[in-house]
Amino acid sequence: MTISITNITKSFGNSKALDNISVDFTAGELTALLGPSGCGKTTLLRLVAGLEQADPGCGGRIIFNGQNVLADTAGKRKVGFVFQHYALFRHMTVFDNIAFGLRVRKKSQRPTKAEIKERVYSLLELVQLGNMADRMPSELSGGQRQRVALARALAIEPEVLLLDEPFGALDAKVRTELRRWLRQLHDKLNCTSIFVTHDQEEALEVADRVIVMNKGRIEQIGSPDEIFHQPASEFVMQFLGEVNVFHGRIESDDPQMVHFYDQTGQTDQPNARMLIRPHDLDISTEPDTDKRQIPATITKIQTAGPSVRLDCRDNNGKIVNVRISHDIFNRLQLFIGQNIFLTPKQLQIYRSGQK
Amino acid sequence: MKYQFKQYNILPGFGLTLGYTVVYLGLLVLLPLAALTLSALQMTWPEFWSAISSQRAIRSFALTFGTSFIAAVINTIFGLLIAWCLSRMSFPGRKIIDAMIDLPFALPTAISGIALTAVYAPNGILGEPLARLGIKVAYTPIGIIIAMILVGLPFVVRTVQPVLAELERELEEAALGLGASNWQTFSKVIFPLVLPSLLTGFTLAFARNLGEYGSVVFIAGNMPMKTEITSLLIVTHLEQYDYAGATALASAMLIISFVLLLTINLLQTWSGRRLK
Repeated sequence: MTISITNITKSFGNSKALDNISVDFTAGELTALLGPSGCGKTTLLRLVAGLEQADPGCGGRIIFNGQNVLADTAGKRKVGFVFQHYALFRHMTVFDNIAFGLRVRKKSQRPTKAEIKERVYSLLELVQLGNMADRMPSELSGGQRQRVALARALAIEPEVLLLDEPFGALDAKVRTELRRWLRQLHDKLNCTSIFVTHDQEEALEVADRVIVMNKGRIEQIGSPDEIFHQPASEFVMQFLGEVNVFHGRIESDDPQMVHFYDQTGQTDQPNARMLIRPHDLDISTEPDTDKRQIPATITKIQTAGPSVRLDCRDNNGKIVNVRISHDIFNRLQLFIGQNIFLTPKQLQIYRSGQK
Repeated sequence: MKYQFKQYNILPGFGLTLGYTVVYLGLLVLLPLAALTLSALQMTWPEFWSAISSQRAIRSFALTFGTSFIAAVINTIFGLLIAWCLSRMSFPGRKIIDAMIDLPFALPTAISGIALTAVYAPNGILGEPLARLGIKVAYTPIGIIIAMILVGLPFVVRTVQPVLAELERELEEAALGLGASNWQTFSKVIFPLVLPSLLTGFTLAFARNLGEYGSVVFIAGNMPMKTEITSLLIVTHLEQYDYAGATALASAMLIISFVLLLTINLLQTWSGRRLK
């Protein structure tokens, strides 16, 4: 099912949770809505589900396969919704929870008891909880509860699956397992899925497409690769991982001419910011002719982890984070207090006043 | 398996607290009740039996338990409605209405009795139009039920309200999103979750109604065999210096109430067990 959203605005009181949003979701894709808390991502998801109503008079439309569903209730839209805190019916067994969506149907559309039983058990197999049908939700772990919630949402055979921070309440290890599993499940189901997350790693790993949101607006839409390597704005770059920010001055329109770094440490009237990821800095112990080179002193070395993390202090007294491989670290034989030179391999420049 | 009496508890003073609880309950509840039973035991069995099986006594029991039950049921239904309104809707004056719910707790029962009688008497504001329609409220069992509804109202509202307030909205959204109608969402999701607290409220209101005296005596009219509740019959016995008769009635009342409340409590434990 293709979902097309045009010109949707949603306010709570005086603040705009969504500000004139237009976006399309391609059929069969798994899309991540990524952003900090309060950016409107959950509101957008709830609007698609019909749990929230767009501002009257915003003139927006929500179209499922060519049909405007803006006026339809949540039940009518037939979407599967998974809540962050599971929202399982705690007075019902796992079986009854999953069967709920089938049992509340009108008599004419309701499957027979045997059909319901068959469907529930096949869903339990799908979410790998085959022997848990008679348990109460309180007897399950967090990861198991979320899988029951997913099975319950899938029972009504939705063409759209919406997940609101589905792994937010789980611990780190379960979270990684479950998100890989969700990706496999999505490929098996062939429905249009949208999930909300504030965890960039989760979005980049699982999604076909990532929509980065900030303050009720969309910052960038793209594949995980595009989002990570070609951030459309400073916000996206900052949000998608650690960055070092340097203030400098652009003296002409050619970014190569940027005189960002000045050995004396002072740049007059900075008019631009240079953003460099910690792993995009090359380290050398000798200066060379590259104008962009940043001299610094190592203040802290952390070798535990997949790469070595260095805290360096530049001439302005600013801390610069650098990540290098263990191989390079061993070859250079770095030590605390050593003077080094950092060369950016890749950087993004944003002028002041630009986003 | 040996029963382990002393359990590890993060709060100290388990023994002291339990001891205090037992002494407190003993002095305030058990001792007076034991004295009552003891004085009832001084009667011979035929004496006791004739005191509680007189036509007048049996009618009073039926009236008391019947009206108490009906009033508690009505309170349960409308208490749920009011609690829903107060915990889920915002409207101007909500806080004032919320505070008014507790008034029947604070009001001396005699005052509510007199006020109700004034309103529902055949010449009262509501009594007169109702009388023209052929409905008599004051001095009939309907009057007794109305008095009991008034004093029992806060119990249901106050026990259900916090449970409703804590009920996650997401449960309703989940049910509606799965295609349930509003009624199905209420009957299959919300109601089972508030049922234990609703039963608690019902029990409290019912128990209060059984012992109600002050507000009922004014509106009841107290006609023997018709509108005479057991509490009043006991007082009548006392006024005639028939202490044995009064004690017998009180003991009987006590036993029946205890059995009923125990049953309701067991029912409530059973309904709450699934909601851990």
